Amino acid sequence: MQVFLQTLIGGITFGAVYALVAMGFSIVYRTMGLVNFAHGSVVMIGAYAASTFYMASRVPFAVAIVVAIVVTGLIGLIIERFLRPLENKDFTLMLIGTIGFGAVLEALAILIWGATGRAVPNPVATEPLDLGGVRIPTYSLLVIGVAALATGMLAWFLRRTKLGAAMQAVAMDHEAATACGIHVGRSNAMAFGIGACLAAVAGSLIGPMLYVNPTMGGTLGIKGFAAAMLGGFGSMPGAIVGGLAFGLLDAFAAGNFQGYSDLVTFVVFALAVMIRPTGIFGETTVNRA
Amino acid sequence: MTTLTVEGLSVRYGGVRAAHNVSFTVEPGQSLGIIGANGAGKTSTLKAIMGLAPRQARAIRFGKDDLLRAAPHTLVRRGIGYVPEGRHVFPGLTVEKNLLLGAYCRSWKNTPIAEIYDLFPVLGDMRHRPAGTLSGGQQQMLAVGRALMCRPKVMLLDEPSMGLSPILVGEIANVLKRLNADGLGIVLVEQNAKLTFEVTTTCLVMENGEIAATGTSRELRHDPQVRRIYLGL
Amino acid sequence: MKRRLLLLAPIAVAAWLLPYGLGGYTMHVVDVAVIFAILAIGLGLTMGVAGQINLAQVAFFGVGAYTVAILTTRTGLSFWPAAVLAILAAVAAGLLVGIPALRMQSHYLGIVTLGLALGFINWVTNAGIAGRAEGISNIPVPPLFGIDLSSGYLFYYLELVVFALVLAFALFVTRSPLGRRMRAMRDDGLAAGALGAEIPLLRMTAFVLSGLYGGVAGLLYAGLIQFVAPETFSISNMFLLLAMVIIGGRASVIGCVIGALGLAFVREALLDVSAYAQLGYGIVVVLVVVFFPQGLAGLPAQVFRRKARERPRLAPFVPYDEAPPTPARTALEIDQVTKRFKGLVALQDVSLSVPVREIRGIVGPNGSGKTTLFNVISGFYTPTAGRVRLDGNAVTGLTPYRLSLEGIARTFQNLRLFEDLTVRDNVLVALDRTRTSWIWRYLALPWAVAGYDRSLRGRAEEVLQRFGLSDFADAIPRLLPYGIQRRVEIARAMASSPSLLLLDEPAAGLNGDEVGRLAEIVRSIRDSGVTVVVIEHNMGLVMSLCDHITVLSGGRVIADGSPDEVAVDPRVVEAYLGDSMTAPTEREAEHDHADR
Repeated sequence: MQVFLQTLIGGITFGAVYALVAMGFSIVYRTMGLVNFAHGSVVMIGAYAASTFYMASRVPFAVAIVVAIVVTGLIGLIIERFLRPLENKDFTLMLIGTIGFGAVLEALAILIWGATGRAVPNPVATEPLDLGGVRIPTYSLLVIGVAALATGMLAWFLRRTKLGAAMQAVAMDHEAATACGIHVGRSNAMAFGIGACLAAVAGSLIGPMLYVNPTMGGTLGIKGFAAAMLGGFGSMPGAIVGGLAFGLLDAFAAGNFQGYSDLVTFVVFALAVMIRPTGIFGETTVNRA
Repeated sequence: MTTLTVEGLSVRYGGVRAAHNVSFTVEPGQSLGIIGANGAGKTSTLKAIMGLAPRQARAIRFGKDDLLRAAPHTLVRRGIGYVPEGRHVFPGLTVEKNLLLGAYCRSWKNTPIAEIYDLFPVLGDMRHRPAGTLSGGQQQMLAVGRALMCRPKVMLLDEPSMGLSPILVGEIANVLKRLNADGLGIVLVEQNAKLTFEVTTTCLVMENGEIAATGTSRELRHDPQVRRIYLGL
Repeated sequence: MKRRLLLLAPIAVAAWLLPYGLGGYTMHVVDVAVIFAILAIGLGLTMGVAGQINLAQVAFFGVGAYTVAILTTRTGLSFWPAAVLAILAAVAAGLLVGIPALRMQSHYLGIVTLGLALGFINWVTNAGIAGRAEGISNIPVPPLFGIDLSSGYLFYYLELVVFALVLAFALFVTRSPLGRRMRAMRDDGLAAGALGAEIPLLRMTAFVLSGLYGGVAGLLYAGLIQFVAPETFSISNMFLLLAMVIIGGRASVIGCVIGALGLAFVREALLDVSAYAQLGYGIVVVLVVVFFPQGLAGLPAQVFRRKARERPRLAPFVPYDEAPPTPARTALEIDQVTKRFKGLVALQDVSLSVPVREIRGIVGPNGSGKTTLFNVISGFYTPTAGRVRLDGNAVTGLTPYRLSLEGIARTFQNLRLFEDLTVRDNVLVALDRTRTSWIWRYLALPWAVAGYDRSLRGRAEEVLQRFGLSDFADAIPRLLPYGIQRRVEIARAMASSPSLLLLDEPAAGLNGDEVGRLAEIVRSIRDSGVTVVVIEHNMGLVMSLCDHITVLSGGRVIADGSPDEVAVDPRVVEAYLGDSMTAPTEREAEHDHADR
């Protein structure tokens, strides 16, 4: 039971990060129909930006996160500008284009920070809380808290602000949105920027949990994407549920199958989406053929 | 005077000619109907005016503004309202959000939303429901209401009667007549000739992308040519 | 063809003489490059030709290499039997990874295949039998009639022979009926299905091919390096492979080969500055995707626009021979068909029956359910209730490809031509009436396939000539005027020799002359013994062309009769005009009638 609870906490912590990554995928996908395979690499850049700033200048971790958000937000806008001609046109080409961007970001990270990677010190160096024998690392609480805060802010933005409403309108019907006076291109760019900001938050948080290295984006991106798919691509609640589910799947696979956790995770994931390609909260058209 | 002037408008999708050499003018307070069978080019004409379809024209002007050079999203701000075919409300957003988005170009502190609820009381009753759960007729009212939120001077409506029961069609007709009497310019694209003749004073009949006949609604009501175009007799 | 062979000869000779000018290390680099070229062909076949996003190609490569390594070092099997088993294992992996393609496409498929590839890497880095992270060394050198294949030079010749074979097979597949169907599926899966292509089996075939090529590449790699380790099959190599295929041109087998060889050498040259190399090819991939989607293979066409020698001309349609009269029977019967979508009723108890050799018009206002009815008849939708019978046989709920083989052909409202196939290839796809299970012949009896393809090509010329399209045979449909595209679509539908032809708004976008010619074509098709059902908005055409008209409104049949009867039916007038007020009175109608 104790082991179970311990794994549960680990799973939720990673799940919170996967949910952030998945939300970044989803918000871009639902506003512009673009699947951003470079998203994982943006997460990696976010992790590097935050950790570099945090470790070099000894500023509070929160400030480092904000810096990372600014950096990746800009990167997001650049990617969107480049791929704009392909929007809603050719799925395969867009997909490959974003993979190309992923390779570029990875190479840039190697050139700037070197290929070896770095360990990031834990920003909250206190003893884990002991709850009836289950040890809860304080950093886990921080991760879950920040992820919840980011989710809440996103929900507030989408629900309560004019720009958020406009972005949702574009996602639902871009022609009608234009007729309402909304600039679709600007809204798309904003969606991409927000996606990148979420990636930065995810990257900053995961830094101290993993070893930050240039290739971490690949696995993280794939897991975030898989989480988004599991929840139902394009759905925000789906991204959260999918992220947590994937985090738990990952944690229990690691607990029970040790080294083979990735194999088990991806096979289970493949089976799950085979059975229900639309995910938990999914859209209806998956098979576009 | 803010007159909507369309001169020599043509629409082409790839190799297909959807509309050719369409011209007309509408002033605030006037009403123009465009009728014709499916595929006659009515919808394409409206979309092209809004900049939502590939277009060529000698001129599209609204007052002093050259709409050929205007980005599509700026048309609302200039005073043109548009109710697209098939309603196109934002299904996941509430009725109120839908209406507010109609006033996207202005401050949300001072919108005519109360007037819209007066005009369509049913929308007021359902203001917190997602628009996707409304019936077809209610969605149509919402689409009209949304287009009114920016206080347009001329409004383009595309088949507001589609899929509505005769009673609802009558209701829409009454609202349009009232708005028109209050000084709103109306361009009504319709397949439902009866509704069009009732609401508008002037009509264009389109066939194969071109204007086949023009006249007052009263004249056209009894014109055998209209029947020929519709039924191929 | 002969010119091509002449062109091939110097390349073959150069390839044969290449080792004489190379140092040992360079030879090794070439050996590896050739293996990547084989992998790239496999990826090109699945992704470029069949349109299936496959990010597991390195895993197939790995399955091939690891199978050889494990079988030779752990069980003492000798190289060649292990190699055969390796190919089988890679093909099996292809089948397994391909299963998700039955349920999902595009980016979903991409992520699932990528996930499974990661799973494979995870397994080999952890499994003791696969040597964990250290990999497996001491794989035996493949014995071959006493030739010492541990020499990179001699191994090159083995590779060259294998490469020539697999390249020839890939070219053969892409240019034969199977390849055409796969390209058709890539361009428009729905239309391909409606023309008899069995989409699920074709998708699996694409993955089997990529497994096959991965396996062959893998066993060559194991024989060449005699050592396998997980990093060779990593995700970054998958992306390298992807870059090769995209930069070379994913739809062209030769382009894939050029991209692979080119990038393999570039990578080698920039080995010391690999981060810059990755930056470079990332940027190149982005630029290629945005500006040259066809890759290097598309460049010649983009640079040298082929000039037309003379202005191509649409020739007149050559009418079909009139078929002898057949006894009257019902060709198509629709019995109480209802179709609902999530509570929305698109069709409600629609019944109609069309006798053989009739032109039946289906008309009605927008949204009255006409196209839904076509989609039910041609198998795109399964009706919620009701039955469809074709020549008396129940065909309700059959898949589109089965219905195509049963004799239903259709056109689409918004034209669904295969945009990247020539007009001739569009027709050829429809002419091919084989089941996909027929494809075992590609391996066993390639000459029979070639013969079949020749006979199809002969018939394609006949069809093109009949429809006056010979001048446009090599044109890409999307560059043709709309009227000609419409005619191509009808020609394609007729190429499948249907007994029932469904035309969805065939006159949309046509000018007056073209409408007249369309009517002539449709009548000739009817006279040749084919039953025609046509949805059309051009009422003039409907009234003059159709023998009988069914009017739909709000998903129900509101009238059914001869053109004259239907035109004066008050319900029809009301459906069209909103009210019966403009309906002619009976006296007027009689008057009109007398006038004609």
